[in-house]
Amino acid sequence: MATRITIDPITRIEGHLRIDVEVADGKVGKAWSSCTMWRGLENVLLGRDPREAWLFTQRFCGVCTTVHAIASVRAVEDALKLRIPANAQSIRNLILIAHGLHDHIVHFYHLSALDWVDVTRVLEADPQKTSQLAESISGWPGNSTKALAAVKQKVKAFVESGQLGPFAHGYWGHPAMKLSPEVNLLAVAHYFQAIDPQRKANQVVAILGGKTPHIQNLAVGGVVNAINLDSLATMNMDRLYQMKALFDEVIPFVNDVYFVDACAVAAFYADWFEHGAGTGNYLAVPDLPTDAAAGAFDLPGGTILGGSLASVKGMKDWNDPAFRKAVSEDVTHAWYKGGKGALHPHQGETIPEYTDWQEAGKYSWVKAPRYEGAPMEVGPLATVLIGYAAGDARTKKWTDKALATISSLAGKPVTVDMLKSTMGRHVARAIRCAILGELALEHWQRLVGNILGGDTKIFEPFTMPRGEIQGVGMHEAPRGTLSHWVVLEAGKIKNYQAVVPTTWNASPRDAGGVVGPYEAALLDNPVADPEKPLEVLRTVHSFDPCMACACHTYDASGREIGMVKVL
Amino acid sequence: MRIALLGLGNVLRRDDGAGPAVIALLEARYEFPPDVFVMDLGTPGLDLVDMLVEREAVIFVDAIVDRGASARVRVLDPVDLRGSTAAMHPSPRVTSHEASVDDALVLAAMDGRGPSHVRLVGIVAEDLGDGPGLSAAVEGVLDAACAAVLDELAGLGVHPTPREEVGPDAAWWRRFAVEA
Repeated sequence: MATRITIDPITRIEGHLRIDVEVADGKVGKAWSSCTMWRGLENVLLGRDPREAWLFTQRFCGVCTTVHAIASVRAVEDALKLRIPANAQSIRNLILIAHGLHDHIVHFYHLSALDWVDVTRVLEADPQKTSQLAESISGWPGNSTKALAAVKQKVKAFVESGQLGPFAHGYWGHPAMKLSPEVNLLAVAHYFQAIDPQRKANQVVAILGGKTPHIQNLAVGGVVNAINLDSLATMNMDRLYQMKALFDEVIPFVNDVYFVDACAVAAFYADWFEHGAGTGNYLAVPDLPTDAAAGAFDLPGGTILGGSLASVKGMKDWNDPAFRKAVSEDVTHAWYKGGKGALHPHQGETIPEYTDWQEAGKYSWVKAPRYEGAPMEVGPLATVLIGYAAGDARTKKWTDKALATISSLAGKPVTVDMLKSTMGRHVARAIRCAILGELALEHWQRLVGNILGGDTKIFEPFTMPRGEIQGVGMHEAPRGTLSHWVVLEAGKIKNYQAVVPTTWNASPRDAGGVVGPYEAALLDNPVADPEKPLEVLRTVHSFDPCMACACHTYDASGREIGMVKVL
Repeated sequence: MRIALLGLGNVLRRDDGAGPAVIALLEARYEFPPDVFVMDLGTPGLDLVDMLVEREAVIFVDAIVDRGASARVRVLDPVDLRGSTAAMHPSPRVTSHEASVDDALVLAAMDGRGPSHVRLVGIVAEDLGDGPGLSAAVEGVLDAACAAVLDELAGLGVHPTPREEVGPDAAWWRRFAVEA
């Protein structure tokens, strides 16, 4: 007989998220977003050789390893004013696109669908009716009565065995769960079917990166994917077509399943376009450069302030002086030593000063990033709103398609302004994923064309100056704007600050008491049952937080009535 | 590939990097047959599922917490893993961004293509602070952990070939020292 022991997986992700909300009359009145784990991994980099920093940064978090590798090499290249070869840009772009396709599919199906889908109701579904419904909205071949009946049988077997795994602990039977048994069955079927396409997208990352998680093909100055069409051991037509074949399998799933499901869930839960608006300020950086010089981009960047799409300001490229000046981090309510006001990341400090969770004082390990002093929401919603407002053709095409589909299914008009909401974040992520699918093939063709044109250059040599230089590496990651800020002196890292998407979104209050995006989005959020705050989770999960999350709810008298572990 | 040998853990959190360190040592010392997939996975969250589907057998190497115990090696079977998440988080949990080994195994089983044989070679951690490098106590049991992995492989009929010349330790996070 084996002895039962506790196997702690030990903290796996870079921090835990805790949300505290005060509920009165069925609505959230106040909210606090707090990261409960010390996050000072940048300190590991001090004194190191900047050429190897990316190997360390991609271990910050085990789920989005590539994004921290890319931002790190870009930061050092920016400090060196180094222009990398066109092939290197294309190879990096393909990695970023494939990672994004993988990540968005996983978020929708495996990390957030269970907020909206009641697995236990699958047992009541009629597979034939489900199939008819599915085939009326999508041509996907996986929606046959036979396939859906098999999924129903599978769920039944697991429910009967008591081994629910990731389906355990869900808020089954919650009054806010509103899908019919048939829609629930369809969603669960696609939950299983999503395992293969997300894996195939990740295989593209592995082909180019040599390995995933933790790609191995980067270098400050380019990539190390040797290109020789006559060699079996290098990047050749065989490898290139292997990637194309994988993209060709992933893209139909994105267009015919994920995009359609996101629109359908949005239509069935159209009331969630009325909750979770947030700060109304949005930030995205341009990404997927289309030339070696990174002078033009396929994903537009910019800012929107105060919720008005008319306020959009574009960001032409990574040299944008406004962005380089505008970012600062405030630690008034974060467990770091302050007293110097909000600091630019190049002057940033990471000196811990823990006080305990204090409602009016310090309450988080996350700093409060600000853009020209304002809290900014980052992520697919920001990218989509900025692209739409700036007239980006691809964004407009997919957004209009999503809005038309949702409006038709919901039987009422859903507008682009309504995307500023909990449900809008899910729709925007599906829009971004469809755009990435389109761009996957374009960037693949660009790489193949460049190689066939005779260019095999992948690396730009450089010399490291002895004096002090500074740089910033930007990347519009699946969760939003990521920037790594580096100060180098005598070829060593003197300062390193990573301002990550979840830092922007999970930001605590700042010196002026202005709340961060999660905190703002939770205001007025409905809560039907404070013991089971499913609605709070819906809004927090819509941001795709890259943290494990603990959520406490209080009633207005301040008594803690439930502690739920989420994410 | 038929068998997966997977190292788990964050190499920037001291002893949590024991799993990846064992993988690096084994790769330096042995050549593995082509039907064995060997990889340091870091902290993959739910991406772990991708590494489990279509494998007959999976051996994890991971840091574990065994309260009160000092650094040593414990080989666990799936019965020990089952419910580990539920025991840790008795209150409701809605999704699984921080997927446990347990959750990943159940999801792979639900998919119908999960491994039928699973073992976890656990190394009891002592120091989980920030930074690369293991505690001396955990360094001291790495050879025992390698031996435990080889035992498990032998049980599956797999005998990696010792390299004539031991390769460089692939654990770069231990090799790159900071010149203070």
